[in-house]
Amino acid sequence: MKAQSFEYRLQHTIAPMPDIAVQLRAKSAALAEFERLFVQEDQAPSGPAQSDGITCRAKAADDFRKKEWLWEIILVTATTILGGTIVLFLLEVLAVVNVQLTLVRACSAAGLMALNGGLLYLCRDHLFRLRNTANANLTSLAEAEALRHIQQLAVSGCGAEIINTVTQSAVALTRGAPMVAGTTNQTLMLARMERAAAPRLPETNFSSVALLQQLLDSALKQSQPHNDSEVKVSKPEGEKCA
Amino acid sequence: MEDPCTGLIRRAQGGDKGSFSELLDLHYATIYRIAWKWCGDRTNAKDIAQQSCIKLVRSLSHYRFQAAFATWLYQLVINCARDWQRAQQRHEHDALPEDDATADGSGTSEDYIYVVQLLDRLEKVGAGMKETAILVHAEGLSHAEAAEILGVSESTISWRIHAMRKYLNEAEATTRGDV
Repeated sequence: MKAQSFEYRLQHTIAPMPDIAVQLRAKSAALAEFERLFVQEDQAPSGPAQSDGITCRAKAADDFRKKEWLWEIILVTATTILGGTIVLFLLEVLAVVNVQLTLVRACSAAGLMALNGGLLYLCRDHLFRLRNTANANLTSLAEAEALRHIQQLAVSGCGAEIINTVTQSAVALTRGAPMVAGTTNQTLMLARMERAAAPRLPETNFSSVALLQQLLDSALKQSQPHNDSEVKVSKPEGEKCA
Repeated sequence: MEDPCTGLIRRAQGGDKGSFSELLDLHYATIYRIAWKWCGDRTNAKDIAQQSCIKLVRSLSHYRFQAAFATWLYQLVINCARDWQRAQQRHEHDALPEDDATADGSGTSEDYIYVVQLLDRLEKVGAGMKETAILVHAEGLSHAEAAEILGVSESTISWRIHAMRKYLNEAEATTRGDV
């Protein structure tokens, strides 16, 4: 049977033993390849990979720079959010408790943080809220000066939109707050505010400055009967609760 | 069960030349035997075996101990043999064993020439027939072992064996009819 024969022959054919010389030749070829392969691997880190390493380091530096830039943004954003949160918190406190100088100054500091962070719209919102609070409560020079701090910060750090808002806030403050004793100081403060704001104000907002000027003039007129040395102290803060 | 060569293989993978040399000594006979059974010719078997040894160097790092080393080695040698055969066909040097085969002194060469001719004819009947016949009949492996080496299912091996027998029976019947 051919088929059986085929299987039988396959099963029973014994392969010849390889020549020693052939085996040695094959072995030496394999060992040479082995050596070449492992020498290549050993040299890999100091060979072409060195330039790759430099490229990698440069790339890593680039990545770091990109990340650094990203970190700056994150830091600014975080500062802004933190500052904004503090402002919101303090303003809530201001709405409930009477206005106090320390709180307003703290609010200014928080505002500075927010301004530095560049979140202008958030600041504007805060300033609007502060203006409303000022209308209701700010009557003392100290409190007005706190507002001036905020205004100066806004002028130095922000754009026209904020300045406009601050100017409006100052106008509202002047309208809302009675010209009590010490008007000269208050007037001087408002004059400083105006000077600071004017160069930065766009033309469209100049009416605000003009209005402020009018108010300053009227304040000066009101202050004329008073002597500069007769600086009356405003009512104690405890009595100013609305 | 852990392969007795595991330690050698691991050291060779780590770059130990001595271990690789030892591993080669242990397995060269197997490599050569499969190569010879593939081609039935000492010269060609020598070439296939040498190529297999070189390929073993390059592939050893890819061996993950998931299969027995012998199984993995079978795959490697069969792949080398296939490559060799393709190269032979490309160069039209697909010579059947000639003088060299008869000179091996084993006394089985002439018989095996016929076997190799049959194997090559079987390969034309269906892909994978030749290696299946070598692994199952010549090496005495089970269908499952052959299936693992060739990366096919056990039923495929069984079908190939069946188809092989059928073809050989038909060939025999034709020969008888001719006679």
